[in-house]
Amino acid sequence: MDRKELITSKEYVVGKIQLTLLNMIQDYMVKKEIKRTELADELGVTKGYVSQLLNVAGDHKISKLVELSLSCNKMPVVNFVDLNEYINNDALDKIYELSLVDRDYSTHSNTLPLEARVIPIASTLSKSMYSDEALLEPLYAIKNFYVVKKEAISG
Amino acid sequence: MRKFTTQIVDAIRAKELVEELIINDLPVLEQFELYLTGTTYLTEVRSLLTYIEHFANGGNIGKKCKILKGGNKKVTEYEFISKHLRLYGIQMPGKKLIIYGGIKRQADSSDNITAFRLICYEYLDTLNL
Repeated sequence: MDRKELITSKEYVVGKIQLTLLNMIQDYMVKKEIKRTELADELGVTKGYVSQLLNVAGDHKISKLVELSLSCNKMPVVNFVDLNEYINNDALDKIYELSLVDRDYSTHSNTLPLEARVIPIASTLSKSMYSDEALLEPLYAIKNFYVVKKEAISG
Repeated sequence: MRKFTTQIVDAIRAKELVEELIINDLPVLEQFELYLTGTTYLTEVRSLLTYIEHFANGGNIGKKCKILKGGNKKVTEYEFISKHLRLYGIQMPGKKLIIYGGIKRQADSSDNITAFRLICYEYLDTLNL
């Protein structure tokens, strides 16, 4: 079996996620000095489920995986990269690691302010669209709110 | 007398070197895969290689690896476990060496362990260990 065949297999990817999950839970157990039963109580799962986790078995639901991570005070950060790029980088012995960068706000100045985006929609409201006047009241209230807000900003 | 050499396992890239034994010019892992071709067990070989890679990277793989007891005290013997398959290897200075692969037939894998140790001791004899 060559490297490419292994790393592009389902078993490899699933196995890596399972092992990462195992290591996270083991670290948590060591840090908190708790055993399987206590861990099961803390995570709100059965002892059998904890055994499954520690035996690198079972195919976890995404919601369960997130739940477990949050219970262990960890935030799962999922990312997807191009497969060919991954294979090429792997061949160059480069691995993907999480890096922290500043959030990019540079595109915000190019977008319209919120009120400018909402008012045209609200202004299209007419009695022809809604026969019941009572239904229109909350929508007109929203429209008025944004008009007032816009005036306050421009003034 | 069997002839032994070793080669790097191409599929695994880890901090620690992982090699496979070549017995009479036949790599054990390759032979094991060949033996499993056409069976559903072949996917488990991938899982086992994933576990070995994680282990060779210094990660903990829990019950997927067992250190065998009662064997040669000079080397640490590993059993890598998947649902139906077993891979056996030893710890050599600076590397892990895969020596034998088998299908789990008995609850305690004793048949596989016997076969593994037979090859292992013969190989270690050639190294005068």
